[in-house]
This record gives sequence, structure tokens and C-alpha cells, in this order.
Amino acid sequence: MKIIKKKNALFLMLTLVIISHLNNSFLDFYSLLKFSPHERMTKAYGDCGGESYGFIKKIKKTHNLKLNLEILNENPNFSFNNSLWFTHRVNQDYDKSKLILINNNDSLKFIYENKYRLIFKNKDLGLFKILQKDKNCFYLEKI
Amino acid sequence: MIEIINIVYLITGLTLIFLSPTVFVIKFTKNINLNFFEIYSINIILVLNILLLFSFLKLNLNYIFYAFSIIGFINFFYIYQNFDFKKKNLFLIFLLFVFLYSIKIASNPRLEWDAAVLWIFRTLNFYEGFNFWNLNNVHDGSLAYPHLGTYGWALIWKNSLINFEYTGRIFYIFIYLISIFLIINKFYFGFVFSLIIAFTSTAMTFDHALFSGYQEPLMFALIIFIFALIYKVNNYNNLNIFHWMCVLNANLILWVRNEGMAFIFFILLILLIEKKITKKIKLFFILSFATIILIKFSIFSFYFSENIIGWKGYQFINFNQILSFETFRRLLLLIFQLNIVFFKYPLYVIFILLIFYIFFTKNYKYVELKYLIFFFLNILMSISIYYLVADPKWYFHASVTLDRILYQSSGVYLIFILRFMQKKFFLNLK
Repeated sequence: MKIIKKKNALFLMLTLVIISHLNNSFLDFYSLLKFSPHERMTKAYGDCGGESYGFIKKIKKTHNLKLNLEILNENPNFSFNNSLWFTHRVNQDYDKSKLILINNNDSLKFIYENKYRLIFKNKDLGLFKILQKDKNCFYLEKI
Repeated sequence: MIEIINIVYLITGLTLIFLSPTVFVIKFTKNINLNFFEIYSINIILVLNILLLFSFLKLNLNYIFYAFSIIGFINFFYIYQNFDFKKKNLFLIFLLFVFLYSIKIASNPRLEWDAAVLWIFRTLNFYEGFNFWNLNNVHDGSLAYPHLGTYGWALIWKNSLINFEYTGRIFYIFIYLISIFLIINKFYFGFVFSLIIAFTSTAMTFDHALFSGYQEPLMFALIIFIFALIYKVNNYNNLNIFHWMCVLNANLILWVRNEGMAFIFFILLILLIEKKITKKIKLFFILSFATIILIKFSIFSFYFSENIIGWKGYQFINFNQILSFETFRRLLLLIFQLNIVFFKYPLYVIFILLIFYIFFTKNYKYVELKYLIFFFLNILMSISIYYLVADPKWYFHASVTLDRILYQSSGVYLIFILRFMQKKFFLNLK
């Protein structure tokens, strides 16, 4: 009787291992242990690229943002603003003087020194200076 | 490591939250033999209705979480002492599945499109302590979408040990898996075989993209719950807890997604054609379903001035265009799209093949009319949404949303398939 029970338990264990393997659970488990939540979020949304989670969070942290910020994404694959929620606070006003531009291609036109004209999707948004930059992601302030 | 502890903590929290009010359910179903997953599904219906009510008030999500957990804990002791808890192992496997799928979400926490531009802002609204009436100020721009799922998401996120939104999505996994195990427990094939069926069923129905912030998994579960309740309702001529649960479940369906309105019409139709249900009870269903629809419709009309069908800006084509050649051409593309969805969610393919098998072999004893009616109405509704729209981008909408509409009701066919398997291979009915 004991042998049958042991066999059953072994069979059950084996089934569970196979199911976990087919389900990629071991890989998921490894990913959880190896990377912090912030690293996994950055991996999922990109640092500077895609939704640029890493850059936006960095700006929020280093500049201690209290107000909501407009985020412009030049990547044509993002017809909606998928990055806004990273730092969004409900019922909070938007900071009209600053914004984040991600995946910049040719929206930012150099004028002189730290002065740029921002033309986003054919709309002239005015003159800006760069407060922080990482590759083609920018934290801008209106002049 | 904190992540693993957090997942275990949240699963324990959810298990306790939905353990209440077991004492109440057992008291009202004294002479009825209910299994543990059936009690759990009834608890979920009750608790979600209470949460729906809470979402209109300004209540602290931490207090709600702890209050329900404590009540659940008290219920746990009652169950431990008084309830003959059969198939304990199946429940442990259920918990293991919740854990495995939760780490899957945590390892790839990305929110998909509608979730990142729409649902997350509703979740943020509740997460930051606001209630339903504040949705007017929420960024997403689509007021007419219901909110119940996002309230549950926010509740779990708020009580997570780490502050990341994906932790809240364990809420969807938990309810989705309860619905799968409810069916598996109903048609129990022995432990190991049930385990294999649990794995195959979840492999066929777990769509990672839909667990990335969409409301479809919740709808999937609620439609399974209501179908399981229809079996119970059939056995009683007098009003009892199951009839009320049907109405409460229909109410939840209305508050998860707008398509819910169509689904509860189909369900009402199924209830009305059930021969075993008395006229008095049918009248009860008509009146109560009408009441819940009216309540939801009134709230959205008066407060938000919005009630939408389809998507924002949806407009029907003119009546004289319906049978024009130009519109008719859509049908071919929609049928093509429909076939893609059937293969994406293979429960549909299995269901259709089984129906063909049953009709060719004339084994009509395996057929239940309600599944066929539900299937045809569901397909008709799904096609009509895109066939009747005036939007020139109808094909784009069909290609990105048809699968989600059909996913919501696909769990129903799992009941049909397992019921067929049980009758054909295990009970060997003649």
C-alpha cells in the first residue's frame, strides 16, 4: 500500500514538474529572483525607447515631480499615449512649463546654445531648453 | 525574494477575502450538497457585489482588505470544524496554479494597449482613494466604461507589499482560475486526470495579453459562474439563493464591460426557454434583470451622460445600406476573422467539432440547447457589431477586438466539452 502511495506521489510530482516546465514557470521564477521589479518594468517598457519607463521614472525621482507631466512619444507605433500612467496622479494639475519627449526623431530643432524649438506632429509647441537628456529622451522646460 | 513573499501574501489575502461569507452560504444551502468551489464562486459573487457598492463610497482600500480578510479567517475556522472538505488536493493545486500564473504576470508585467491608456487610469482613481463619482475627472476620456474590475485591481495593488500595479492583477488570475476549477470539480475525473485537464484548460484559455490589464478574464469567469448557476436554478421551483445569485451575477457582468448588456440578454433568453423553470420564476428574472439594467443605465446616463455600444463614437450604418453589396462584402472578411479567433481560442474549435460529431452520429442526448443558442447569439452579436457600424475603420476594430469579445464567453464551451467527456467516456450513458 505504501509503495502504491509513494508511486502516486512520485507520479504527481512528475506531472507538476512537467506542467511547470510547459508553462515556463521555472523561467518566470528565475526572472523574479534575478531581476528587481523596477528592472523587470524597465525591461518590459524600455529605458529610453518604447514607452521609456526607465527614463520617465528617473526624471520623476531626480526632479521630485509633484505635478503631472505631458509626455510626448514620437514613435509612430504609439498612436496612444501609453507612458502617461507611469507617473500620473489623479486630480493633479499638469505642469504647463515642462514636458517629457521620448523617442525623439526630428521634433526638436536646435536654435542656439540650450534653446530648441519643439515641433511635435506638425504642431509648433514653442521654445524649450533641455533639463535632462538620455539618448533620444528629453526632459524639457519652456522658455 | 520579497516578490515571492508578496505573491504568497496576496494569494492568502484573496483566499481569505473570498472565504467570506461561507457561513452564510452554507446556512442558506443547508440541504444542498455544494462543493468547495461552488461555495467559493457564490462568495465571489457576493463579495464583488459588496465591492461594487463600496466603489461608490469613499472607503479606505486597506480597511476593506483587512476587514474581509478577518471575516474570511473566522469563516475558515467554521469550515475547518464543520465542513466536509473533500478534494483538498484539488484546492491545493488551484493555489499552486494561482501562484504559477501570478509569477508569470510578475515576470512580464507589461500592460497592453487599452489597459495602458484606459483601464489603468480607472485603477489609479481607486488606488489613490477616490471613488466612482470621481471617474469624471479621470484622464482616459471614456466615461461610459464600467469600473468593477479596476476596483478589485486597485484593492489588491493597494494592499501589496511592493508598490507596482501588476501585483493587483493577481485579482483577475484568482477569479479566472476559480471558474476553471469550478468546472473541473463539477466534472471530476479523478485527481491526476483532473490535474491534466486543469493544465490543458488553462493552457487553452490563459491569454497573457488579456491578463495585461484587460477586463475580459473577469467576464470570462462571471459567465462561467452564471452558467453553473443555471444548472442549480433548474432544480428548484421556489425562489432560493441560486436565483438571487443569478441576478447578482448578472449585475456584476453589467459592471465589468459594456458587452455585458448583450450577454445578460442572452442569459435571460436561456433562462426563459428552460422548461424546468416555472413561469413565476421567469417573471422574477425578467423583472430583476430589467431593474439592474435600468439602474446601471440610469447612473451612466444621469451622471456621465454617456452610454455606449461598441466603441466611442460608434454609429450604425443607414438601414438601406445593410443589404448593399458594399456592406455585404464585410461578411466574408468577418467570417475569415472569426475563424482566426476560433483557432486562437481552441475551445471554439473543439465545441464546433463536437457539435458536428453529435449531429452526424445522432447522439442528441449530449446536446443542450442552451449552448447552441448562446453560441449562435454570441457569434451574431460579434459579427453585427462590425457589420452594422458606419466607421470606415471597421476592419481594424474587428481585427483587434473580435478575439476579446469572443474570449469572454469561451469558458461556457469548456462546460459543454467536459460534460460531453464525462457522459461519453466516464458515465458511458446509453
